[in-house]
Amino acid sequence: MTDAPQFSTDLKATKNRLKQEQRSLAIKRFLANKLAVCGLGLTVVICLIALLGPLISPHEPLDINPIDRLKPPSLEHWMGTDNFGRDIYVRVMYGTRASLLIGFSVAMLSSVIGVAIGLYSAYFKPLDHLLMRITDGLMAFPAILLAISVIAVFGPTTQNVILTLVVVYTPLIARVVRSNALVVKEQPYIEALHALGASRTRIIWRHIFPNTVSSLIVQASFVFAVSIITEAMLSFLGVGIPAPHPSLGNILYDGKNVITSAWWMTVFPGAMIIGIVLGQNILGDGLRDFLDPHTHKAVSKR
Amino acid sequence: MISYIVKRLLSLIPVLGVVAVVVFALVHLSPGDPASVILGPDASAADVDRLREELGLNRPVPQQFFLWLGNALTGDLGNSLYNQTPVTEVFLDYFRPTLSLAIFAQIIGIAVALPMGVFAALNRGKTIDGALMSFALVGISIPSFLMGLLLILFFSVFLNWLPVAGYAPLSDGLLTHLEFLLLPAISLGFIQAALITRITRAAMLEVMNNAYVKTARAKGLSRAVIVIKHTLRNAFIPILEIIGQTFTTLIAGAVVVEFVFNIPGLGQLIVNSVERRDFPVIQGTVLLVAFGYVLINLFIDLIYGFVDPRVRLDQ
Repeated sequence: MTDAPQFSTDLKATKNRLKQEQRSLAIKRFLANKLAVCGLGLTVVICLIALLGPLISPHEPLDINPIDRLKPPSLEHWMGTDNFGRDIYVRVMYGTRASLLIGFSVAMLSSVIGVAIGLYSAYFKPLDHLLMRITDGLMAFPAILLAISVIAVFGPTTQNVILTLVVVYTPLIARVVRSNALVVKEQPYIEALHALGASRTRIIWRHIFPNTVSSLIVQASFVFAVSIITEAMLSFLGVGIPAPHPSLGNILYDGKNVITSAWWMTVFPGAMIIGIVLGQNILGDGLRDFLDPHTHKAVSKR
Repeated sequence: MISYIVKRLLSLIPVLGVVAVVVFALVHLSPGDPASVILGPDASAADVDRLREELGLNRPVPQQFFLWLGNALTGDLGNSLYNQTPVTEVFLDYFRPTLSLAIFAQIIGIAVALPMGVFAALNRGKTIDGALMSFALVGISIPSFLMGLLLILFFSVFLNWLPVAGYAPLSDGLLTHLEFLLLPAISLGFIQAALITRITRAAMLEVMNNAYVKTARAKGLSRAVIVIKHTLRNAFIPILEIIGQTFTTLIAGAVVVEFVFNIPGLGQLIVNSVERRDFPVIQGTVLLVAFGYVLINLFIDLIYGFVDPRVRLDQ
């Protein structure tokens, strides 16, 4: 009589131990993947720089100081000053914050919406036709042109920039999730779940969704990178984050007019953009190798 | 083949429908009245009324949509509010430099990427493969407009070799045309080259494992014949696919690169139109570029169907 509960706690302990071992194994495997670790490292370093960087400088991003205009990098102004005498270092830091915020918001929002669209359209055939035609249509727009026109109509605010990018990039996520879900849906265990009487919602979210997560993460890191690029382009064209607020793109825009005399206005914000995007691309490649070792395509599908 | 073409053409209808609805909705979903949005906050009530009448805004929305769509299908996208010229005409004027730039960049991209990708795949795992792939990874991380700024800084400011910016139309002679387009096209072609290199390498590796490549080697065919006729040719579909899919990124990149180099192309048109609140031009430009994307992809699908019979039967 007392044997049975004894046995079940034993089983539980073993299960827990196994789970823990599995987890530490996964961490080890991740750490062994140099690409993923480098990418993550670079991304974390940039996030820390953006968070802590402004704290160690006495300057403010909007402080105008006409006497000190267009000064090269010095001990006083680490990255020089712009045509209004504003400190480039602090502006680059705040611009990086803005870029990361936009990249992160777009990646999260388009993942949530894209997952729902991808899963339901894989599961319900008639819905699939409708939703996939809509995503086909949305993918025909160059992100930047659509964003420019939306902003021309609704006004240049950070929210409008984020919303437009979500509209343009959600199809990229939905496509990937859908094509994975279509494969999973045909597996025998999904059929078994049907036979057992599991509800559709349960099958979709508890059993199909987890199997699409790995490619979702890879695609989301890609969306993160392209949204940062698109935002930088928009601000560079003067239709993104409204001036005087710093963004990497509008610092480059100011720098373009004085490119023959003030290289620091192009080089520093430019290096920051390359750093962020490179970090994401390395991380994306690494995660792809880590999460699906079977696919040889270390190339993002657009 | 004919039924494949018909099927592919029919599948365009819903896509173009979505494109049309989005472009139409752009102006018509704007907060407040499109007429007052177009005229700006300082317009008088009488002016707004007149424009409403002119644009047909007093009719029900679905009717407006079909009227607009009907006009668009016959090539009438309205007139520019700035100088009253038809939008299609304005678009074509500004599209030429953009197209020139995009094609030039694409050629540079492909010319650099194919040999690099093939070479990397043939030397898989060696140092040279690692070096090429790292280079490509950095390449896809530099947005083209930034590349343009860096190239200006290096070649025009630091070395003083090439003109900083400007543009000469094709009518000034091909060489002058290309001289002004050289730096912009390299800026835009660089990221394209990096992307295609990665795709080419991956596609080559996938094909190289096939039994028929081994057979070709066993038959004693020369390495060049195996690589070009048997491997690269079969790796071409993903390469073509990416070329089609990146058409929009290429045009988008061109728009911003033009702005960097002061080339009077779509980039300048759209930035100016935003400043002038010239909505018909913005709307028309977005519509026509999306339409171009759809056509290019149709064309590429038809090429696949032609090159690879499996594609035709699959769908």
